[in-house]
Amino acid sequence: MAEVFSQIDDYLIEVDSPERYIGQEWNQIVKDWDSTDFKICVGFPDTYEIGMSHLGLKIIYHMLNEENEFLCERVFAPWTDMEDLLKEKDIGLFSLENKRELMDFDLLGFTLQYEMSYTTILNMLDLGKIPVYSSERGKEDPFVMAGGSTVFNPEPITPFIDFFYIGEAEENLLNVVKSLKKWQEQNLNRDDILFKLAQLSGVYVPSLYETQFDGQEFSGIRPLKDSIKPEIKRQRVNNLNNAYCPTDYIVPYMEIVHNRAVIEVSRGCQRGCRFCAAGMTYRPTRERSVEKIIELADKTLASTGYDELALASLSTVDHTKIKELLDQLTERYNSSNISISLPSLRVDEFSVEMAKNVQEIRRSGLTFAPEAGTDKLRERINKGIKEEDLYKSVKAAFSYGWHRIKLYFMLGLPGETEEDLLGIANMAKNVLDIGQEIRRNTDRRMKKVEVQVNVTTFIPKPFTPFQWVKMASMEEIRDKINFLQKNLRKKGINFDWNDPEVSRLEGLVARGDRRMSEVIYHVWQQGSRLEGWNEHIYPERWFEALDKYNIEIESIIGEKSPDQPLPWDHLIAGVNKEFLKEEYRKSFLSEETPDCRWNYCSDCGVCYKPYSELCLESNQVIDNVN
Amino acid sequence: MLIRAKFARDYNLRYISHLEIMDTFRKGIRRAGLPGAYSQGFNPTLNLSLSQPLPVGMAGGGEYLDLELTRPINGEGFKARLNSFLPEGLKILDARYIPDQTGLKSLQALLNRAEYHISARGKLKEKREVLIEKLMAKNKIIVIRKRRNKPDREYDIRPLIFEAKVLKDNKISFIVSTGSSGNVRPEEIVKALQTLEPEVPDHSVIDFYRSGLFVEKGDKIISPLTDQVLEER
Repeated sequence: MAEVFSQIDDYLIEVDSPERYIGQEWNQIVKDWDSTDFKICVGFPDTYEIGMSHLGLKIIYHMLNEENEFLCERVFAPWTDMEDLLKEKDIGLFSLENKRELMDFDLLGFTLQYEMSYTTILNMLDLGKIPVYSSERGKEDPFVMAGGSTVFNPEPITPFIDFFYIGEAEENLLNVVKSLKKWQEQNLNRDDILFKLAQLSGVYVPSLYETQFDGQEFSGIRPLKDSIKPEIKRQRVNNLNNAYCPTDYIVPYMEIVHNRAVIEVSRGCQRGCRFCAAGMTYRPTRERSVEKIIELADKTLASTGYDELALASLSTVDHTKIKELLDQLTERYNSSNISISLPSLRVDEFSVEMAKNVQEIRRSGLTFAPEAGTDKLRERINKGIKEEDLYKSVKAAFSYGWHRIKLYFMLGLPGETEEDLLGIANMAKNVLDIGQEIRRNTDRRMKKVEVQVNVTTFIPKPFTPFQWVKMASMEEIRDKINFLQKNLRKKGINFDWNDPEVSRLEGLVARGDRRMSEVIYHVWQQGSRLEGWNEHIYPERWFEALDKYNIEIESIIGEKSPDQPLPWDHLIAGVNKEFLKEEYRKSFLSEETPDCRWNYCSDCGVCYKPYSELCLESNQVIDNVN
Repeated sequence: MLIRAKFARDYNLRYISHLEIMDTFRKGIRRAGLPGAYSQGFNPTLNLSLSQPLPVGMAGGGEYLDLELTRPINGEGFKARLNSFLPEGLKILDARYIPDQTGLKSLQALLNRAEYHISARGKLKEKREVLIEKLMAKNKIIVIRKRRNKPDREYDIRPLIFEAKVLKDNKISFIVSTGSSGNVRPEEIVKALQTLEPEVPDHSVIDFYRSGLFVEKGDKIISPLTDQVLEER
């Protein structure tokens, strides 16, 4: 164990949850430091209990450790008490496995999941004794890379990251890391290596591109050299059954956010909700076969000892063989006291039926996301569910024994009117009525019916048909929240909302261009990090910095013309811009675009055949057209 | 049917809480495929109980667990199998199969003696022999205990300290009462030593180790795995 840890080990009793920093969990992989050539550390810019719940990080950790020539360790953001301790003892942020300071690694990779975690990345670099700006890193410093779901607009953090990997890790990450190792062994200098990395598929080296502005407006991005590709394609796995998938996941000691065995049953969703970035950037839907899922579940449960299995995806009940899968899993694990959970549910009776079949035990709350208050607005955002569907679903849920229903809505959707807000209130009241009616007429004991209404501010995100939409102002959102508060005052209904100020910052980072990097740096310099935690976010620092650097908020989250350049135009996420424009146009007409798995091809650009021909054969390999 | 086992939790896992250790055992038992019995009800969990919680920050060399079984398994087999499914630092040292647990006292009710080792530093190291003698010669050792929502209470721990001796490698061993019939915390002993010699280092910089938990029988302390304990129902 490295020297640094012995200097700090005895003091860990003074910090909150020392288990966050000690590693040593079941299934962790500790390789010999000195005899391994190339050392990688994967970082998650939030605390251990959040980061350890993230599936992508687990896949990358195990995938890289499969290779003898690498070692791959983990690091998470320290809580403030641990940060103080590190600073007091002058110890760099260290990895959990060999307890090495981050600067000792060859490559440090960050997972991007949330826009407000970017200041934490800067903080982790600094605590790990690595220069925060790429331009200040030298031969002795690690390469810093980043990837993940918010990588589709990397611009706000480009000065801090040497290179980005765009897309799904299983496809090309190993090749990228192996190439980097090879070039490093050839003793090439840092700039040459970056130049070579930029030639690889899916790799974006931001320092080799230049952005242009016309006053406040972003006007384009282009490579500095002709030999650098002008566009970077998202890497994606074509066949999920063949994709690398570990089963020997690390088992944390501490209670983490999602403390269970997780099997990803499918990736992608083509329902085409116009606000949903994941639904656009993870296309097409790729399913794992029932046999493969069961094989993975068996191995994962045996290797971890978990007694709960979650079937994860963007929309699990959309798996074409969901019923067969759940039947087989419940039969298989019935006698071994393993419970199965479905983290995401559609608003329909079928979903409730599926949830009922698996959640025989621990049945308390069920969550639905109608997203908007009226059928009309839902048509506009292409969330093709009717009010009646919700009522049928909750009726089923209440009669199966659930007593708490959570409803998620967004405020500030394009075209939202007072009628839509009243719609939210009415839906909540009607759901309560349905529940109370069932409770009155049932013979069995049923707990008091509760309806929880949660609203968040709609954030128009890159690579969605709403990427050109003006984000609603905080004042508008606050008025809407007040309106709902007045209209939702009823016993049995709880109303809660996310802070619109924080959502505004998320929007600014999500759609920001390179100018935002100065803001992020400034906010971090003021002491901000761990901004996913309410107690650590100071929105005023962001607004001060925007002011200081003379960045007009409207130039980022104001209304854009579909013809004007966007800061993420050089990335190819799969769906093409023409499709997004068409969807944007159709939204004004409240025109529906159905899921192409069951209907005609919507010509999004992801596959070159009408997708419906491919999807029904579940193991079909889909060729990449891009 | 029951397995009663003695286990050690090493220094490297001293920051893991009691509940987390419990959960680590449950998962280890599941991984090992051992025939543990589950509770009835909405949340079936393995019927596993552990001896008195170790405070966070302390390792233990003689801790115990009871696991209810659905079919018989011999102690040696249990030990060998489970050990290959536990993380480094958690180890079964000994295990006994108990075919019928009728009338058997729970570990928490049974175990009433604990032995702690204190690694002496500074003045405590220098004057350890004298200090221990002085401590044991006292009639009363009053400590202040904080209580939730109640005023602090004075408490005499002297009758609960049964033995103190100096071991090799600068350690001091104390045998004290533990459990519901009276409990002494090792840091209270260090505080008491500080009243005798103000330069004794603070308990926060001293390493504690619980070397074992025992059952008091007459003037002897014995393991809960002995026939004498198991036969007395």
